[in-house]
Amino acid sequence: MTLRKRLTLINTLLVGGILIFLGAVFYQTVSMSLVFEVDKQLKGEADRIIQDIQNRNGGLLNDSSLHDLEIDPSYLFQIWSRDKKLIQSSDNLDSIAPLSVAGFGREHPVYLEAEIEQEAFRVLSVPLVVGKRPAGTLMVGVSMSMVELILRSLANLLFWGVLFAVGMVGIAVWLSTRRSLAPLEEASNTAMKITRADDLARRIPYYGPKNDEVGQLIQSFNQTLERMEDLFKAQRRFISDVSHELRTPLTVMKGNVDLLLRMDCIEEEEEEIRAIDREVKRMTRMVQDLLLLAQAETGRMPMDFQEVSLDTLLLEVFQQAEVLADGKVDIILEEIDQVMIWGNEDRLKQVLINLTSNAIKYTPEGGEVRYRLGKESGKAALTVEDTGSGIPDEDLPHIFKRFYRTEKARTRSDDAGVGLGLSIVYWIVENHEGEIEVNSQVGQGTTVTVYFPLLEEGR
Amino acid sequence: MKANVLVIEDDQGILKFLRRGLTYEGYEVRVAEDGKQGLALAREKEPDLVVLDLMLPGMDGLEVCRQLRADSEVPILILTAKDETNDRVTGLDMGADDYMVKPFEFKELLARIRALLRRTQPSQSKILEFADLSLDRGTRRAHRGDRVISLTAKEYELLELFMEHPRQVLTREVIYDRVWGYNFGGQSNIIEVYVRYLRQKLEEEGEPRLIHTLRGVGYVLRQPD
Repeated sequence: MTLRKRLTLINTLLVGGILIFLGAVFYQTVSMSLVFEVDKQLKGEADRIIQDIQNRNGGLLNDSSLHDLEIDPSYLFQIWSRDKKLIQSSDNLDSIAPLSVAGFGREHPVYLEAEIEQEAFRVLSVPLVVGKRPAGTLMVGVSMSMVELILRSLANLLFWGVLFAVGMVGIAVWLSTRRSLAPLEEASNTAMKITRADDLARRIPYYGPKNDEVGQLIQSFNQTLERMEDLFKAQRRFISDVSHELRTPLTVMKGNVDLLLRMDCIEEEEEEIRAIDREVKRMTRMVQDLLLLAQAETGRMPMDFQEVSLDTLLLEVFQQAEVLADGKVDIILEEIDQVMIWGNEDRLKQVLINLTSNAIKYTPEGGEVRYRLGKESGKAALTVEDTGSGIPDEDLPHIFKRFYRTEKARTRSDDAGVGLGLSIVYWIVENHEGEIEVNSQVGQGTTVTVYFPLLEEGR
Repeated sequence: MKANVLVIEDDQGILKFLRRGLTYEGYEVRVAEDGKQGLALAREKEPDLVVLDLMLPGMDGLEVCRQLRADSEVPILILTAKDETNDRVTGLDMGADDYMVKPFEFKELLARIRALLRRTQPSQSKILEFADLSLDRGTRRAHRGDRVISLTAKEYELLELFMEHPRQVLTREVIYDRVWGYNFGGQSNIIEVYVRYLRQKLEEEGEPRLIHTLRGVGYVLRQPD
């Protein structure tokens, strides 16, 4: 559940609970005071009747002396003898049933609920005493329908009122939390964008007060971003400087080795010179990979795209592969077609070289590395197939994993280049909106196919 | 006549092997260690091609490139140790014709130099023609009759080679060497692939074939019999 939903729910439940409790207390109080008031009036009527009886004949209960007892027409009364014979009742009462059966034989006046002709009544039963001896019972009743009506309306009012109030509170909390949580949402959106675009220069805008909780959070997040940006900038600069420093001597070495081989002034030493040449190339590749890796890790790396002829690229790499294989592995160009894609030539070449050096490295002497380049269902498909050791099934899902996860591949000293190589392949192919497909069988070999979108004609 | 190459590069090691290597390949080489000296040499005698390092002490390579371009059309090949694309793009914007990232294969440097020199040979006619086919070296497009044919880079290079040598048999070796810079021998059928694409484009509307196969020998550009 989102924080916003949770806050709304908690607040609504809290306010709702309080309102329901207050409503219940209020209802109870009103109902009690209404009944109290009714009881008071019943008591008044009863006292008046008893007084009347006293006044007429000293309290003797007989029909003839009581036949014209008066009472407010909204009240009913009955006078019962001790042996439960009805002596007198009010004119508005037809029934001869006792108003309240439970009211007989009491020593003190008692208020009871009763139902008469399906109507709720409140009945006061008072024991009548003549000369300190119980003589009968006076029952005075009044309809409670008015009170019930009032209480029902009140209950209705309270119910809907509470419901409405809870609804309003819910909406208010929902809206106000949106307002106060909006900066957080924006913060997380910005953070996502930064992650996706690797754009550390971005900051989270915040227009609210700087010293509230959200403001502080955003401020400290922005500070973190700033620090990271500085760090990455410094790292990028460092890498760029180092790679320049490394490339210059590599260029001199490479250049001189190339000259030696070209000028034909060596015979005996050719093999040694070629060995140096291979190692220089390997180091060049590693510098390249490291640089790219670092750049990919420290953020986005701009690549400018242009029309690239994959076949020309493949032929260049094919030449290098023969040097790399040094006759130990057969390099075979199985199929080639003219394939134009939109991409960065240097990076694509790196993909090919990394795949090639992997294939050669893991293929035993006498094995084969085959290339195929063609168009498959509207895509450029480039395959590097080897007869090498293959990749175990359990490792397959991990071989292209992004750098920071492939700690193992990184720390394996004997093939340091590989751990980087495939990650870089993955990263570059991804940046070209391409796909990689790997099929491998242990002991049989590995087939890697990369797919790229074809360049549309006439672009 | 020897082509005159001016190398502007501050690193002694690179400078030395470039001078030796290019001289060995038959170029007349002059070297400068910074931008000012380089510009002075260029003014003294206009070179046929400039190899320019981007990171130079004092005057920056891009500035040298801009000044060179200001008063000459000399082809400029940039060398850079930085992989950052910005530099390259700026370099090409400043009027450089090509770039190479260090460290590079000497062989590839030679190929690029040759290509640049070929492109700017003054004697070259701008439009090559054969039968109803013409090839514009400026736009790198072909025309067959009224039809405009756009070509990929390699298709262009191959057709250019045919058009430069009409009615001459071009062996696979020659084609490999001139277009791909390396003889793949029987390892690749890339020439067949490109000839097929070229024929498709040139004969799209049923025009007669101009590029003919001579089985076991090579290819020739000629009028149909």
